[in-house]
Amino acid sequence: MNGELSYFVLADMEKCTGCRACEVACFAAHQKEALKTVGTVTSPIVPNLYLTKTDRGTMPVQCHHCENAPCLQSCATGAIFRQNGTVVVNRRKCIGCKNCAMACPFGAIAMLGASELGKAAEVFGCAGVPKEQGQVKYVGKCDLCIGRDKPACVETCPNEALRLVDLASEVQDKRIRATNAIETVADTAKQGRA
Amino acid sequence: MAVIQIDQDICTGCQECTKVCPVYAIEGNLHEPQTIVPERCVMCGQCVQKCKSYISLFDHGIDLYAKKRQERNLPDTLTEPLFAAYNVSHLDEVIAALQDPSKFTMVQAAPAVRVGIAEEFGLSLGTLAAGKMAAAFRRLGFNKVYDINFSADLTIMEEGTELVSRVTKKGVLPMFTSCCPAWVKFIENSYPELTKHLSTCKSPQQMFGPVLKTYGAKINGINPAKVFTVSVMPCTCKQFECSREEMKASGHKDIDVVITTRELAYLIKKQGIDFLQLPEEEFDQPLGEYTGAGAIFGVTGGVMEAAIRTGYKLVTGKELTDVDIHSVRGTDGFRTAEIKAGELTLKVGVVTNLKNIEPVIEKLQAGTLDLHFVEVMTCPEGCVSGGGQPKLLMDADRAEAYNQRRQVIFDHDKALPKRKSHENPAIIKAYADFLGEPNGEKAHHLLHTSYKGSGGHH
Repeated sequence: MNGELSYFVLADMEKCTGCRACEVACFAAHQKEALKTVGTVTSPIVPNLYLTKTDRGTMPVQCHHCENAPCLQSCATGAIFRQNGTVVVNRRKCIGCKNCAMACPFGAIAMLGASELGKAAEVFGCAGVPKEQGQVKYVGKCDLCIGRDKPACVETCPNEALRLVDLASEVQDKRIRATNAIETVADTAKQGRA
Repeated sequence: MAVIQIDQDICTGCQECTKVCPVYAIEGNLHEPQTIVPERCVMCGQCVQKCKSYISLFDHGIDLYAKKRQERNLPDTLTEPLFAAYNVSHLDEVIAALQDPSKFTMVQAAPAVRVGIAEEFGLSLGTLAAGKMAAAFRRLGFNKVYDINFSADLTIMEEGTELVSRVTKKGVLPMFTSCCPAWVKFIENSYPELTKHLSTCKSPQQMFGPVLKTYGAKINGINPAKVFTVSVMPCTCKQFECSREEMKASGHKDIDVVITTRELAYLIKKQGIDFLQLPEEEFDQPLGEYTGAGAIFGVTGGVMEAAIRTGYKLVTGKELTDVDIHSVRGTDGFRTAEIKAGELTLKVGVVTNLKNIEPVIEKLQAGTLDLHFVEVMTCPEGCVSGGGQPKLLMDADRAEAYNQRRQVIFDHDKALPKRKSHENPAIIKAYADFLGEPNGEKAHHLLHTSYKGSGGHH
């Protein structure tokens, strides 16, 4: 963290194939116990980033950790807060008012209601849907995998379509490239005059 | 028969499966559901392992999950995610047989299953669970808990003898292994003129079927018609293999049904068996006795190493003292070694991952493949990486999983009191009491086969 701007994960539609490996990895990385194989999963896969398909292609959409986060401002109970720059949700404080999902300009917050969760609990057996997912509501958003070296989605993508954006350093790189290009033009012009 | 399927309702058309398919059997446009070309598919199930296109609560809803779970004949206790690519399950047939008092059920698991099954219960990747697996089979109600590792030892007796015979009597060389049904299907499909290079030995599974329904029935005093044989395999292609028309050497379908490592976990969970609390139990004797040579069939190079341990004895009449044959170990796609056995220098090769086969076939066709014996396994690192093994949630764990499973199999081999197939006392007794000589008349009838392109079936 550079102390100025929050990091966020961004997908490249040109590289994304829509395989959903990022979603599966995201889900696995957010379980209490370290799950390695599919057979150890006892609840529906609910990720914190969302593969989205349009006519142009596919890419997962996830939280930008906005500097002036509309979700955080809209939260009625203070359940959304900033932790080392990352915008996170305290699910216990969440009342499911949906303000955050409405406020988010990217659709990066997902919610599930009592009906869907109730049905899921039936299909998966009572033990299947963890209690803290709330039999009443579920809210999920990217937390940049706090505690992991690298977000699970970025690590797992087979096509390197996801990257963790450090805006300040990316912008600095662009400035350096621009400067080099301008210098090259200037050098060429000088040689032309010589 | 349909073995591997891609669900048109779920597939996102990412084509990640087409990248792992070794035989270009998956077709379709990007971002549209893919289809499998059955004529080309070798049913290895690597697409099943790769596919992450799951039934989503957001995109599909829970009702579709429940519907697909039922359509795929999976137990309604199943809670794991379902993906677009899957193998057709025959678990319901196993459940029915276990509930049928007129059937005498015999179960046997492949070498790689015992280093995979515990992963499905949260133990670390590659945990050895041979004893717990045997205990689970008993709790599930199988009448006899036998072991394909026994049959792997039997395969070595037959295949080692065949190799020595081909080498000394100037038979067709190089000889290729025939344990991997996907490899056999591939060569039959694509190069029928080369099937004469395949060992005539059946795979360990298909050797075991007729042994169970003849010798096995006899020692248990059971009518062979009542014996129901269930294999648990790391492999999705074994169901196809057991359904081949010619696999009826016992006079009955030799192996009745195959389930994968993953499906065994479904069954254990369905029956409410607490796998982690199970005691370590033994396999039933004599058809559950095995050596380290049988155990290493689960890894790439393992069949070769096991064959060398016995082949050395067959050629020289002496016992090989150092049985760890490091020159054939490893995971490179194609590796070769020279083994000194008395006067003979045996030239061997190991191919793992069918993606690496084409250059080897080209050399064979050009007559420049200067080898006596070649092992081929379709999956990336042999059976431990099979299409029916526990599926990883993250591909980042794949290398560790394969490596752990492989290492644990070698450790298991090292810890066993006998490490050469010909020293297995149950094998010696089976030949003495029932089978006669390796490659003899009875063995030939029960344990050997023929292939498309190589003349009629037995």
